[in-house]
Amino acid sequence: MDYLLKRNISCTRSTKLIIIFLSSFLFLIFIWHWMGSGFISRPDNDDLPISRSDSIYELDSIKDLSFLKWKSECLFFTCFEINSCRYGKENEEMIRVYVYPFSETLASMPHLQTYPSLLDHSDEYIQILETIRSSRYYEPLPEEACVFVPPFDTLNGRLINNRLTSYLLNNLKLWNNGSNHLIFSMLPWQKSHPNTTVPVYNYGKVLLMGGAFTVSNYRPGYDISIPVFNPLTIKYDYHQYHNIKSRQLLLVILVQSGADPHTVNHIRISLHQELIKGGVVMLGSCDLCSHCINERCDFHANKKLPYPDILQDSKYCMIVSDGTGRGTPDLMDVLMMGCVPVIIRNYELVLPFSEVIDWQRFAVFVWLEQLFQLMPILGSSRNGLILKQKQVLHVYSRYFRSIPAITMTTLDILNDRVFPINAQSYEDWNGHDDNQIWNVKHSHIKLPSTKKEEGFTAVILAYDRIDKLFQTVQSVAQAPSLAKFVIVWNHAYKSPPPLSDWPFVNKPIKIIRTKNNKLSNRFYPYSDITTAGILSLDDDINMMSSDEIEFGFQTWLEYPDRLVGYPGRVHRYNHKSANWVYDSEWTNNVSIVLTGAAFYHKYYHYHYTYLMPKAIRTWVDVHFNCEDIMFNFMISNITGLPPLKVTPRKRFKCKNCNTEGLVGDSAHYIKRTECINLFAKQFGDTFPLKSIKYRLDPVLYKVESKREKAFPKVGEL
Amino acid sequence: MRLTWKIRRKLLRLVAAGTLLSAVALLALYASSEASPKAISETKRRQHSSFMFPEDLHYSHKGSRITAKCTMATCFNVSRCIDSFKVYVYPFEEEKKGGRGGGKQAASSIYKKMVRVLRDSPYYTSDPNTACLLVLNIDTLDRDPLSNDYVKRLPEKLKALRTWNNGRNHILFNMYSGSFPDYNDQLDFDHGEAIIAKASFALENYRTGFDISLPLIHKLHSEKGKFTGGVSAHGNLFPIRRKYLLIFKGKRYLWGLGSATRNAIYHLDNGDDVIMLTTCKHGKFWSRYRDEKCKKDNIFFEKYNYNHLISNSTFCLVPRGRRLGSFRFLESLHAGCIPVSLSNGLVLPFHELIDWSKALFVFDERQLFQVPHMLRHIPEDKILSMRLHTQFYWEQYFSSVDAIMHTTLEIVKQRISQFQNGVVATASNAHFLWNHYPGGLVISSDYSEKLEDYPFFIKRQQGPPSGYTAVVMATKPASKGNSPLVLLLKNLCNSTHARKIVVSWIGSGNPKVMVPPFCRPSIKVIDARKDKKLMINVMIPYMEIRTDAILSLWEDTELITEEVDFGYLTWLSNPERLVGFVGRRHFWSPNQGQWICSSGLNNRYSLVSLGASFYHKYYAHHVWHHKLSSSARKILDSSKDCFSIGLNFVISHMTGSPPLKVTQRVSLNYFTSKERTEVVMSCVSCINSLTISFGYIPLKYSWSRADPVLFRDNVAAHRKEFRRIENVT
Repeated sequence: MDYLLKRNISCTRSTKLIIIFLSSFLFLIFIWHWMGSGFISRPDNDDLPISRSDSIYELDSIKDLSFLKWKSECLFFTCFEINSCRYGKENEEMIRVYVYPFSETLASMPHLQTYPSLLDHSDEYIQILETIRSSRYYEPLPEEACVFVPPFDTLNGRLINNRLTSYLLNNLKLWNNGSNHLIFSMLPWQKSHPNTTVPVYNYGKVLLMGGAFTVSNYRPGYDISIPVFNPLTIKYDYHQYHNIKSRQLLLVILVQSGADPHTVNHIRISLHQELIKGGVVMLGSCDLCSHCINERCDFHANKKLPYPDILQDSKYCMIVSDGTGRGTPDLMDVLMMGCVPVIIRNYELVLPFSEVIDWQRFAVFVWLEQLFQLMPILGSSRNGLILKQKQVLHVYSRYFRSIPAITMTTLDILNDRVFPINAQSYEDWNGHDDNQIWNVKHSHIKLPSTKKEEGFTAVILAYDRIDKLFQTVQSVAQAPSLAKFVIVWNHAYKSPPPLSDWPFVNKPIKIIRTKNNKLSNRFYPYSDITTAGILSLDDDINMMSSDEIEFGFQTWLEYPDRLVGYPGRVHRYNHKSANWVYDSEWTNNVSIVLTGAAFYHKYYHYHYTYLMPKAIRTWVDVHFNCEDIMFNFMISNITGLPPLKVTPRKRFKCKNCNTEGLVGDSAHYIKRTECINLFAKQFGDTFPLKSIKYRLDPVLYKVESKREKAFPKVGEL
Repeated sequence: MRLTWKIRRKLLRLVAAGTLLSAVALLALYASSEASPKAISETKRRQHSSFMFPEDLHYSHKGSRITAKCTMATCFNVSRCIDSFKVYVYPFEEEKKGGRGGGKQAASSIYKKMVRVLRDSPYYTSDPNTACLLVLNIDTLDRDPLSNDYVKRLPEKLKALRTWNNGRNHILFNMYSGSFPDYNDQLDFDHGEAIIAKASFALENYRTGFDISLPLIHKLHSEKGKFTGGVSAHGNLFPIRRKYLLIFKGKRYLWGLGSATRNAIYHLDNGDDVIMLTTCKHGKFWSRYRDEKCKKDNIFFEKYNYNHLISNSTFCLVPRGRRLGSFRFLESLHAGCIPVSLSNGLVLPFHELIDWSKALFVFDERQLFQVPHMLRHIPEDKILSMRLHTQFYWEQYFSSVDAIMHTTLEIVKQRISQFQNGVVATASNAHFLWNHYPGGLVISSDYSEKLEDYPFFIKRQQGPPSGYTAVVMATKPASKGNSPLVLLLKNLCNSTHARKIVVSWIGSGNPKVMVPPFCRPSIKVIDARKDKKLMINVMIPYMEIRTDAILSLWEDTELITEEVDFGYLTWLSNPERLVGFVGRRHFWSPNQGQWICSSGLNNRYSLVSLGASFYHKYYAHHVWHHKLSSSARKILDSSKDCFSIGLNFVISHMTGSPPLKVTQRVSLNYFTSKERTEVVMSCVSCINSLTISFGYIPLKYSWSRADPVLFRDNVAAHRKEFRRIENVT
């Protein structure tokens, strides 16, 4: 318009007039259109449109509004059609999501095409649909899909015509009373339903992805509580606001409009002193600027503060809402700015993604009745605060930071419900509780105790030293608790001697021929190992008495999660060369026991084979060394404890033999030292090996006693 | 021209007026749009096409919250629980009348167990006014009117309770609700605002965050104690894949509720590794509904032994019966047979704290026929981890009525999130605490939010050892340089790791103890007689202890410095155990029909004497005060000699491990033989009464002791760090 007028200045008067006439006409038409579209496309909620076409009469004539009813009794197994989600090959087991194409859907409802409002999609809803379309869950063919997403934007309940939307949804091709359909509704409340917190878009059996749930209206296992994304305040460079230290305020309280004045007053009284001192700030919307995005007003000092930036200055943030459970976009601001949320329990909100995300890890929960006790606790819990702040960042950046993140999380949750067998674990969702504690990381639960009668399996790594192997078998066979031999025959070409050649022992012998000569073979969880207790042996350990073996087994029974062995070694730090050194001297410490003669739980074979980084196992196999040191690293890393050396024995082979398993020269020690340093790097900042100053002996070892000793033959070196 | 001009002018005026009018209209419209947020949103919408508008940020929602269901905020008085979490149990009729007993049966055996356990709980109070939770004296476990245990006229009985208050802050327990034929999941009486702790809880009736789902408990379930699962007993942790993949043995309902699943299960049987045994025999009239399959079924049914099946199968089907819950649940959990729950809508027991995805599978009943296929593809390491978790959960939370009731109480406690000792009781690491060793009943998150403050975890970044506090109990004056106490103090003064020595005086008169003049650790004599009646306060002067390790000593204990330092270093890697110098052993005497203590030398021990022992302060500062049952507390408070045995009991109960003896020391010396007999006698009475209180003997034997690594080895003496220990006798 302006452009046209400017050009007219140079024109003649007459043409000018005509143009003015025309332009004012155009202007009027424009205004008329503008007003018209406003009224037509934005009918005030349930009021029907002013301009009535035939289609609207048709809509008007629908008297049966039963499809409007919220199926509050819906449960996953009553309303969700699970059998349409395909089970088949493993990698195919995931939900398949179909997104109705918008134009086609409308084309199927020709009488409604005059509704311009239907075309109005918010950026966010378009982003949701695009995220789904580009995700691994997307399925372009409706007949192959088991989850459906309608094309109509339902994110903000205030903006849409309830009845019209219901009608449209109900006419979707695969609607089927809404089952398996997802409705995203971040701001579900409506003017026309002031007295309900039930989001009115729960048509039929739809799965509501809602931003407004309390325990009363949430259908657990059916609906999903999603965050209310706040596009007005969003800072995509949120990382820079997650500074942990320089936060001056202890607590910011965000009071929402509509918050119960009694509650606000109660909080004010409970925190009176702190509010005066200034460590706690109570913020609400400003009087003269009730729609302002970037500022909030301090209740107490009545000054304007920049929002959401102010949250960055506070350690904790609390939201006082109207208690109806409607989702508040402020919660996302709090997390975005790295502020630890304080959640008022009385509201009984179903927090966003709380089905999988453990809010207790990063939020503080408080009843209003306890508020007066809150301040000293928030003030004192420094350690907890840092952990919580870290977790806020972790969770925010993974699940809340953007519309795609929110959309994908929603689908992931749904997928886990449909295919529980592949579901992500708590730790997958929330990360490990990094509390600077050793035994946290491996979801370690104590290994169950074993009965002595179960016995143990002797697993012997053999290559071709048959004479020594036979001697070892013969001597170990004397131990009464031995249940079975498992010989890991590691020679790729040479066959093991036929069973008839083996020494006669009264215990079963199982020989396992391995494909390659790999050291990792000795830690494979063979199903032939049927006992929990394993005695791992090199093929030349032939000097052990059965008392020693029995005592070692007995000790392992008492310490089932430790490595309990005979040959003790030690590592130490050489400050000059700034590295770790491996040592087999007879010292006052033990930090490694060699798996050439050691008891441990079969669980560790699984851990070694399936849970250890493959690179480490490969390294051991390629270099053909240090598998025993690795095993010590692994177990100590799980338990946080050193291995246990039992009995005074120091020598394990005939006197002239080498004391080490493979080679006895100094090159061997250099190699072993190298291993320790390499593994230390692999394990990062926490070096797992630990040393202790004790070994375990029989209770009556070297004690003069008339009583018969249980393990008399313990004591030789 | 003029005319035309005139016309033109008129036209111009018209146009001008028109424009003016439209402008006015526009203005008016704009003004009106100010008033109506709708119109604003329209204009704004052209600028940005987001779903959210500034007014959404401050939208004032005038509606009130409607809560149809009870929640902790609406039906529970939280303020009654903020200062302390206490539980009250109404007295039973016969108790009120002075134990006349007989007559009417008051409660089923399982309800009696529950009530006894609650009365003995550390949370118990006899005053209903200070209680946070109230438990009925009326057995509500069985609400099936056809059952013998059904209590009639329940509503009247409830009304008669003076403090009923429409059920507020009450907790009701239930195992069976509903009856033939529809087995309604809801209770058949008005329970008002009471929390319902119930087995077979259906999701549609379960009020999340308010009710509690229980397992179905058998009436023979142990009342007290903590027991390992079947995997330990049978030694069948391995093989990972057991003989059978999936088994079930139970009823096949031919009609009615639950039959949809139960009558389809047999289709899974493949005669090989999936064994589904169903019998038509149930109720009186089963033969009326029998089909052709029944006869064959019944023959096969008898062929297999249930206990054999359950301990030889990797997975166990736990389908719904008439009700959602089933005894199969706890049975398979116990057996380490990974439960496969097929019970649509069942709320899993204690799901609020137990992460069941670590121990079982839940499938939709509609997926029944896919179950074997899905189970077959589960990798071995996952099965192993799940089997280990079944055992852990069983032992910690289900192995006795006591464990089940206390888990229930802890759930309520977590919801209230008490603030205690300046710590948020609802710990941020609740998931970790409940799903990892040693479990949520052993750890109290209200002790500390830092895991490193508990004896069960090893700190990742370990600084130098923080040392120990020695506490010596003294009764006799020790003013001479050669008196045992003074010698002991001298040795402690030389100890590298001692941070503080506290002499706790309970003798008569003023404390008479000669303190060595040169002592590196601080040393303090305190007069503990004010607390004399509570032995624990003498043994553990709380205020004085800052270190994690406490060394408990008697005044006549003989220990050399090296021993003490060696003992402390050993304790450092066994902080959850009691690490002592002298061991004793308990054993069952069939002749006397009771437990006996031996003090002499033996190949094994199960107790160490607190005359010289290290232990973690968590046991002293927290467990002793907040975790002991009232019966145990009574025993321990009444006799000072029970302190030793009591701490051994507590620690072994919590850890499931024996204590650890260090060095070859045989006795703590200075005992005359007469005193020794007395100690042994008191040991006997303590052990036997504590066993009753704990419900079992938690003590475990150990056959090994800790010696210095080079102890008595053929190595030059100067190379040995603890050479003097070799001379100790």
